[in-house]
Amino acid sequence: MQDFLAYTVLGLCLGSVYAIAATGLVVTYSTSGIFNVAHGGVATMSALVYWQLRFGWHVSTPLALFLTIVVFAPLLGIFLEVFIMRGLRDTSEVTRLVVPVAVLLAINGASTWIWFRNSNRALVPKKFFGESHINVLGQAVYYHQLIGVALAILIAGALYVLLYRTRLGVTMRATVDDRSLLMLNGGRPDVASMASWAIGASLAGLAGVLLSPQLGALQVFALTLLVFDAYPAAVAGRLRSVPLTYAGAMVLGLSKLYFDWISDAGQRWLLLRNLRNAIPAVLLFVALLLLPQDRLRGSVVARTRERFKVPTLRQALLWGVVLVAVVAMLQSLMSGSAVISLANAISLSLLALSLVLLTGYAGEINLAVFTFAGVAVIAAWQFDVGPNGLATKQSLSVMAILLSMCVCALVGGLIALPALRLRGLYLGLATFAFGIIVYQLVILQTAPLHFSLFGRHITINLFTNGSFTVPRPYWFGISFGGQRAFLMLMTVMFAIIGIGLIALRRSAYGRMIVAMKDSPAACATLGLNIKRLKLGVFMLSSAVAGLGGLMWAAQRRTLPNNADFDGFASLTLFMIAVVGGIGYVSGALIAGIFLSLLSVVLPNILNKLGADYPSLHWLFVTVIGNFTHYVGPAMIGIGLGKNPSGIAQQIMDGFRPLRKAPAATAVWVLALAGLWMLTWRGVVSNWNFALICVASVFLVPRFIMAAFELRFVDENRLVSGEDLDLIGLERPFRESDRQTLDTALGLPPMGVPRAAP
Amino acid sequence: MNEPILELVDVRAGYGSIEVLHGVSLTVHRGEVLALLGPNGGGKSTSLNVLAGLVNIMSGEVRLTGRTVTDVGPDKRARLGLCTIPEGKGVFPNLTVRENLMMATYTGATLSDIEDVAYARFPRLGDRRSQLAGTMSGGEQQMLAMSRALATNPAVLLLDELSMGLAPLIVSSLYEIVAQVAETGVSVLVVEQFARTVLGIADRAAIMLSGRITRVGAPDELAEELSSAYLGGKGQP
Ligand SMILES: Nc1ncnc2c1ncn2[C@@H]1O[C@H](COP(=O)(O)OP(=O)(O)OP(=O)(O)O)[C@@H](O)[C@H]1O
Ligand SMILES: [Mg+2]
Repeated sequence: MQDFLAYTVLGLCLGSVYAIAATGLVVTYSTSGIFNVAHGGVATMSALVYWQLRFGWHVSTPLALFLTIVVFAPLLGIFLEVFIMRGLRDTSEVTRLVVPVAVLLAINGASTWIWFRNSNRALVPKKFFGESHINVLGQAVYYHQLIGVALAILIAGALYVLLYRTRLGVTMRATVDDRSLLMLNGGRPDVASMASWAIGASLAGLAGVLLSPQLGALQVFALTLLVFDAYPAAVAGRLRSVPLTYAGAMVLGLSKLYFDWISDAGQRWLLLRNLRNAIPAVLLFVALLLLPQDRLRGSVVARTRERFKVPTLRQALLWGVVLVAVVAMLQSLMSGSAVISLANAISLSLLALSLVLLTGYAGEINLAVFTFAGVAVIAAWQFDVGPNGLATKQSLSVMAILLSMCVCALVGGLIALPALRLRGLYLGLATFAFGIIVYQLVILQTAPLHFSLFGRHITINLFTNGSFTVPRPYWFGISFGGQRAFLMLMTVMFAIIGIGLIALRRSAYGRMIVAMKDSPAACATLGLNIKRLKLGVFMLSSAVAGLGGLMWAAQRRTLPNNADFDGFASLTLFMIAVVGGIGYVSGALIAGIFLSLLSVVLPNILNKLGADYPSLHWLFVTVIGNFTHYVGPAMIGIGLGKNPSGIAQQIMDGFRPLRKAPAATAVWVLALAGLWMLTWRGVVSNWNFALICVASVFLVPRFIMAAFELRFVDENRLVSGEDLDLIGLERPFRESDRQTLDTALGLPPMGVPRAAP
Repeated sequence: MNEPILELVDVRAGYGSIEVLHGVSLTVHRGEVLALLGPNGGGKSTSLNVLAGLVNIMSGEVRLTGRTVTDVGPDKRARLGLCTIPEGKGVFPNLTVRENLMMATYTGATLSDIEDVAYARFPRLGDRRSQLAGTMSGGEQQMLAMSRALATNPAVLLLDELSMGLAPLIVSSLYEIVAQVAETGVSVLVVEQFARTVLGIADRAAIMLSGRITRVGAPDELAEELSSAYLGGKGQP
């Protein structure tokens, strides 16, 4: 009993810090509607700033705290609001999730760059008042922890007074209620948003400083994950209610400490020794189950800025063939290491395809794509390779792939169930939590699992000894073990699945999915069963993720149980896929190529440039190299706020002129094919081939536009000289159109009297 | 009396690439009550939102006391003395009555003054000062919205369909208040579909049909025109 009480006290101490962290999330969400995933990044950077001031530069504690919590963190929050988050108004939920993810990665990248470039030093955080403590029922409770409790209470009170007793606070709440009405009252919603982001960031900073001594040495991602632990508390508070958030935080803190108590600090059940790290994720699921049903959204669609067009099936087939042909031609020119990079890219693209279906078509979110890859590998191994391992099997059989896709679909369905009633954000959070649970409880497990079921002895191989070895397929008497053959296999798969997805999108089912994304309320009134539809899409996309994941693992051959599964890789892939253009199959392709480029190819090129031109080493390696390495992907993600439909859309717009000039296009394609021939025969060097290709891709469409006098009307209507009679059909006729017509008809430039109203 | 206080000059405006107002010119004179009438979808609310600054214009000009305010944001216009009560949602549903009144203080009035005026005029609000506005009846919500107009002493009052969803008795008492406000020298622009309720208090009236002002004149002159407008007539060019 005494132990129980002691652990309760400790649990409440921990809960207090979680409450501070989670309240920050609630404050920003409730005024901006943005679930600020970057909260953990702000906390981490603040903790590092505090460390720098306090222990790096030996500033006194109160001053260091003041500079961190009252100056640095709020400024960072205001910066984020003004330059990034403000641009997210009227974007879809997906964009509003992706941009903060990008910000998180950028902040963490910057933190790593600033503090851990030379990674060998240990930044050791210390508690306030060192090890001073009081004894409560035989347990040491540090002053540091007591300060946390006091601050949590203080903050609760201060927030109450702010939100309910001051004009600024009421304005913050009014901003959520009705932004334009607030302006009609003369209030400044922008100021309210800035204030709420400043407060949110400040709370994040405080939580970061308070949590950091839990780590022996500061580490960017470890600390971010510690702050992530508090997110379920915010979900328990429905992202709006501060009291419920506090309650959720206490439950979190207590569960962790009670687990310590009953499990002997994790020593009692070896299989569950990582459960402590997964408790917040488990509680998130519980919170999701308890959340009340969302009101259905009605007419949100008209106001979001994302627009995706759907290609016809013929176009899809054509592009599929083009893709396979281009990859086949390219790989024949490429060196072995370049082929590996390309194959990596395609394997990631396959994985990203699942997101096109789920996020692009259905508007739902999966933040654990790589976890599904892990699940698929475990399943495939279980059904195919068997307990004796690779020695007996040389091929990934079709049966194993189908079975593991089924397993992924089932697992996906199970995860989606609690979140089906809720908005997409919650499904995203559920998948993220699932990713963490699987990572902690399954993927980090290095021993096989033995148990008996109905008298049969069953062994499940997990990441035995920390990795899986995944064979490549050997089908139809062809071995796809070689890198080039496997690349082609994956490319063909990508094309087939891509065409399949487009066919699906064009079918009645596809239209239902899109209708569900656009207006759940309208769907419900039409009698569609939204929950079943959502579940179906999620399962289907999980199956695609399983297939992509298996191919990705087979591409890597050896799959270690490390970084790819801790959540951040999935966040990155999701972000890049959205940036690539999540509504398009080509967006997935772009995403894979981007990731591969950023993580392997670009650093190689920059390093080579740095080595070739030593005097510019600082530019290529120190500035550009580090920038692209640490914050590059994130910067691209942040740019999404400006152009929410993604890169694929822009590229396709760029090529649109080609359709108006088929002959010229054919000549161009033939010329490129001829050039490829010459390169293949060794007449032209690879570098020149690449240069000419890239240059012509940029120049030819422009050239065609100039030669055929094409021009864009509005941002996305292309007309040539003959299309003049279409002007004015899609939008009101303007003065400039009249001038165009006059010129075309050879009329003198003079005003026409305006018709009387 | 004939000095213009709020003007739309040849304004074209709309949503996205769809133009809704096709060159609207409209003047509210100092101290007058102008009624803007017309059938559904004519662009009355859009005109009002253009005046308030919520909808950006494509061409033309918006003037307040003769100065161009086209690029001035809605919050600034409100602080300059424009009080807008939008269609059907003039209150913050999740704020209490008192907090709603607190939001009116951005115009410069103090909270206690605003409360005094509001509770004196609408005693029912005084009884419910800590009730959430969203849980009050439609009439009470409209009273709360009107208190802002009463207490902040604006130069111009813009009202959009005060009568929406309310019993005739409440509507006429609300318009009595509007008339009283106008008597203190406030210029008022009232948007309504049902002409009879406002024609009694209006000094002038304008009819709006498919994005154009088709007629401006004394209220009784317009009565006949109105019936043809509501029966689907195009109005005179
Ligand atoms: N937010 C919006 N987005 C797109 N179109 C809009 C929007 N608001 C109004 N419209 C369109 O503008 C036109 C004019 O609408 P408006 O609300 O100004 O009419 P109204 O005269 O106030 O009608 P009512 O008497 O029914 O209130 C309508 O055709 C309407 O469909
Ligand atoms: Mg209206």
